[in-house]
Amino acid sequence: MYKKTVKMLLSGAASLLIFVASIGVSPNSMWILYEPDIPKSLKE
Amino acid sequence: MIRTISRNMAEKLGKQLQCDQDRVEVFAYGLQIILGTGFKLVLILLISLILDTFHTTLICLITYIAFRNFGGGVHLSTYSRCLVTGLAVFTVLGKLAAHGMETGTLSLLLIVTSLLWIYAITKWVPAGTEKKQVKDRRVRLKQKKKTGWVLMLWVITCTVLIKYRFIYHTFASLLGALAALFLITPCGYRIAKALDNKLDNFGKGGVGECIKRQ
Repeated sequence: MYKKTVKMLLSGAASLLIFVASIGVSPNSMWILYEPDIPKSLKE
Repeated sequence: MIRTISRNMAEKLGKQLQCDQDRVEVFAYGLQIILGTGFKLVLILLISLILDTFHTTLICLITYIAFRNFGGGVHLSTYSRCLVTGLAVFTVLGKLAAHGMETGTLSLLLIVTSLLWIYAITKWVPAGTEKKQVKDRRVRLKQKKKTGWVLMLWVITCTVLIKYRFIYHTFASLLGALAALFLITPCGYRIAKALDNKLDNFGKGGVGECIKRQ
């Protein structure tokens, strides 16, 4: 039960990170003054 | 530091979920955005609370982010530089906005800023960086339209604020819009580049050299 919940939470976190990363590569500028390097896999 | 923390956390997450390296990089990128932006915002607002300029700094920041999000603009090369510059700029702007001003002067400032923004939208928006540039004509046009909408909404909001004499709030918003505008102009790019070069040289020949000599 515990393992299942942890896995579910981690999957949720991963989905959120992918969502944030996909916004990051959009034409909108999300950052105040600095932007991190965009990963190759997202550039393609 | 943010990059290392994000990288470590992403690798742990990737290991747990048995993801490939490409996916781990995406996680690290997402984490860098969340942690970097969150840390910076919290620090700016914390300093404004200490200096008792929370409201003006928050309004200035919201306006700046709204314009910046669609209009783009220059970025500094490292996170620490961005953090220090961002803190300095918004602390000063928040403090500056706490000064009173005549409604007539504010209205004039609003008109001038709006006209400058219209010029910037037609000429430079979306202003890209080395890492991200919008070249597609259709996408550029879309971003220009979105920034135009933001400008229109902002002008309406400021007019209402002036009408009801929210002087400090209007001035703070004006300063935020001007800051975002400045970083879109070629002059803003030149100053950011000069600052970056100066800090690069300072790192090479300044503090770094002194430490080496000792």
